[in-house]
Amino acid sequence: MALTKEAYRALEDIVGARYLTEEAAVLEGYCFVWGNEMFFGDRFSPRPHAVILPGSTEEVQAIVKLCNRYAIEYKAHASGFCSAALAGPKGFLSIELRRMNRILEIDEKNMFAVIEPCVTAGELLLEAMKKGLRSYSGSSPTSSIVASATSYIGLSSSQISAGYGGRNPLGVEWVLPDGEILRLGSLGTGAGWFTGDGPGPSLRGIMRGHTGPSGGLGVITKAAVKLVPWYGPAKMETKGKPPSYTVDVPENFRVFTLIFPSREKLYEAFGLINEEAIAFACSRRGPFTMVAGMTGSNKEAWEIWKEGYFQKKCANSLALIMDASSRREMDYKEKVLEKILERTEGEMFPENAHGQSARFVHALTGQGGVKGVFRATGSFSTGANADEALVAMLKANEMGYEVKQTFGKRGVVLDDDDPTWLTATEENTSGAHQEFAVRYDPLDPQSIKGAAEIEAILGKLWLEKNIDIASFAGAFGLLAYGGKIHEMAGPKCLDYHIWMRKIKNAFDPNCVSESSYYIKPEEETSPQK
Amino acid sequence: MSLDEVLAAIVGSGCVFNDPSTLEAYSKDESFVHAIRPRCVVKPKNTGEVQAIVKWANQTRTPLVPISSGAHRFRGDTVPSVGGAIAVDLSQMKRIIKIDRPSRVAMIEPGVTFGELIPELGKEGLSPFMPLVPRRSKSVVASCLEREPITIPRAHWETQDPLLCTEIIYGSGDLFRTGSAAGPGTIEEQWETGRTQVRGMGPAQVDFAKLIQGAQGTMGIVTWVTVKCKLLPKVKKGFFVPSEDLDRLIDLTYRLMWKKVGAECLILNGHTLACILAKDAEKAIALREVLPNWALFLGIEGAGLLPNEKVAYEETELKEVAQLFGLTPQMVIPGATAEVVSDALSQPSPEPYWKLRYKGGCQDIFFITNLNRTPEFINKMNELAGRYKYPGIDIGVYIQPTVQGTNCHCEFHLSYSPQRSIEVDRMRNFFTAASKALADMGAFFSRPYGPWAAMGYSRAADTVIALRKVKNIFDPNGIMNPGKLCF
Repeated sequence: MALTKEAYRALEDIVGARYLTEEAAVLEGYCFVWGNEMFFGDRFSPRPHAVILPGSTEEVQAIVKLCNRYAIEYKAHASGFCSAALAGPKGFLSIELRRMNRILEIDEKNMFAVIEPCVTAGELLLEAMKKGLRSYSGSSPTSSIVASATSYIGLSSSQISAGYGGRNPLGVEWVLPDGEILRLGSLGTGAGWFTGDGPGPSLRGIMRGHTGPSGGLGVITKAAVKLVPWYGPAKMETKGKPPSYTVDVPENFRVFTLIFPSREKLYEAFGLINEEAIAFACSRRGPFTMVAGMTGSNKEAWEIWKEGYFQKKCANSLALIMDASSRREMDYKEKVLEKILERTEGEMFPENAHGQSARFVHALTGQGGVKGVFRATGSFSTGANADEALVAMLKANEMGYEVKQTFGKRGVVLDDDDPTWLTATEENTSGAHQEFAVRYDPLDPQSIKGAAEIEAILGKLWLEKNIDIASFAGAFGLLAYGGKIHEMAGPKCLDYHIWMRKIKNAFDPNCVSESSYYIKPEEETSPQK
Repeated sequence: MSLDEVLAAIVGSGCVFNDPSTLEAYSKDESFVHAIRPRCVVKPKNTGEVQAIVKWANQTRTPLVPISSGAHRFRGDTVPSVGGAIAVDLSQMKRIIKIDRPSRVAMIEPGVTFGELIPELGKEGLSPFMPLVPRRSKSVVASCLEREPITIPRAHWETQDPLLCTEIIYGSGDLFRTGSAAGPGTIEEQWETGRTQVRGMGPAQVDFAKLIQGAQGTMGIVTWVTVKCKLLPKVKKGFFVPSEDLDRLIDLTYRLMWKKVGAECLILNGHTLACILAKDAEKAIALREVLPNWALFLGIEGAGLLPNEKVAYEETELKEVAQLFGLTPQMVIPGATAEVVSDALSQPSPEPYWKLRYKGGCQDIFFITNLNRTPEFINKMNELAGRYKYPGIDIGVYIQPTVQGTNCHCEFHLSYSPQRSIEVDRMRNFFTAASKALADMGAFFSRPYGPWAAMGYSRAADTVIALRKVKNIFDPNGIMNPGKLCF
């Protein structure tokens, strides 16, 4: 249902005619995002009623209050990377935050930045590097740091050294679903942005969990995020053209591809690298992802792939990048790495400067990840994820790999031979994150169906085998949509979904913050415990 | 049935206490919080008993005050704020349920103290992340739930660390587990899969543990937690960097945070260092005379594959960095050796507790701020000390970088003699006035005990409204520690 004239006029009064539209041609641009075909059987999702572009917290608040008054569902987005940001079963008011894109402060000494939602990871990185700092990268240079830290997932290639996005927010300014403003932590008492916790219980716990509410619980308008040390130069010259640009790997960095004789040895090495705290970035990559990442086209990738060399040599490989603030530190880390390789029968796989550079850029900025998973078939799904102890992740890999291979051999999805992507949560933390990339053809109904089936099978398997709640527990993936994963997983996990629903109901009494990827505000029941 | 009989039916008659001396002991602590006697004290032995108590309390609308640590308690959070409350003392729940070396994690009940956990972890080649020399009776679980800062900022990724998952009986009487411990599967089934309850976030899109931490027992009763541990060091070295100039030490600390050098990293003034090291007041006074006004302590640990190389490179880094600021790291300073301090930081305090040795009583004022702002707060404390006739030389200062240097915990220890009423009155006035003055300057009392709650929440109406919504969800009848925080 389109907005009433009265509501439209009232919204226009808030932002001005220039920043509000219900032009079909514009709205259509908000309907074509990654993953739509998995949910809607079509690459286009339902159109939003209108798109509004607020320029300040005050405008966001006024919009949200008006939505409460007129019972208009709304959802805000920043970079709008996937369906969770933009799509729902029916239209809503899309709050596009791109005008709120300022870096408000970088506190060099205390290592944090205060930013608005549409500051991208790349923009923040470039500014932070000038001060010897960096942020976690998000999934790509164009991703919103605020969105990934507060509202969505928060994984990045270098999280072992930069932290999981969801653990990085400090003070946060948040327009709640009912339009009231909540300032988390020290910001709430006027003391500054330096912490988001307290006084008393931390309301960051409502803002997000393992993942964020994906627009289902109001709008974050500003956030302070931790920055971490950067030991490279203040500025790096790029070579080539996006998306295949490279840089010279700075002297304080080392880039390795490590290969191991078995999965068990790989996991052992992965655990030791984490325990020894020597990594800037460390993840396991499948051979196909490796080949995709180092080539400029599908044709080029296929030529290499069909030789079978990478499948044979790099079936069990780790991508490791180390950084150091001094030559002395690097010497130490290199010796530790040598020990780890001795113990795990690992070797260094020879890689040319171009390949090393591509992987360095990927770890630093997220650039190249998209190439690795999208280019081959046009899309991918990754609902079968889990975060827990390394031993459990190894088991999950074995189970999931078999399922994925079955579909790959049938030709339904790409038979890419890639095991799980595995990355450490944080240095010195024993947990790990893993997920399968399933490359499917978004124009082929059979392929879409196959990818959806894999996700459904693994989601169910993860619950049956007590691995984890898949689909990033509601923020992403087919099973996340419409709260399906919560209805499946909740009863196996002490009815957490009932508590979540109580939170939704308490903070969004008029049910206007669109909840397709959070939880539907239905009638409350009591947990059965 | 009488109240005692009902509770005895749940926990056994030997675990219900209502004799006057016990009730008196639970009616107060070392803080200035008004004393109120509980109706009785119960000591449950397991989760089932805790849940039965909470369910019964819901039926009868009886206030419950959970307590994990033994005496001396200091913050007023375990003193009932209302009459007729039951003190639920968890000190008998002492199981170290599981220690997992590969995951570097321990699952423990609330009654486990640091002194009990350390040797058990040691057997597995692990050690805990410690707050600053906790008292012997301090519960590890309580320390984590209170967000006490650990002394190793590099491993302090965020405020929640080192707490991972928890099991809690909410005020509603429902059992819940936070983080990955929620499921799928029972804890035993999770172990079978290889899971070790290491992911503190979640489950799903809510971070339930964050709503329990810092709650002073107002959301429910925690029956176990998992905590992140570290490898037991094979080689250890400690260094003082003494200085009369705090600003220089702060600059050095920033640099060390940036370079990620060292394990323990904290700044103490001479008085606090003397109180930690000396066995009694007399010795503390003598020691304070010779100690520097300020000292940064940096511990260096080698625990992994190349422990000696690790310590060697970090030692050289420290010396080089310190030199940039005209400072010199030393293993021995007049009155103290770094080795002794290093050992002190890895154990609970010998009795009597170091904060009580000097004058028998101590009030702490602590808050979160930025490291570079700490000198302003110290100056204010010195200024106020004169006004309230508190000897400035007796102000202990502890500055702990937290969240990898993003913010810091600033703590003042104010020793006084609780037997001298004039000192008590002066201390009460000084404590209240100083707390208010520091808050006015931007000190953030993130853990709002006693009078700090009203001070903090009066500045954050939006937080109060949101917290009350949360409280209403998890403790709808308001039985959990009523009167604390903004509830």
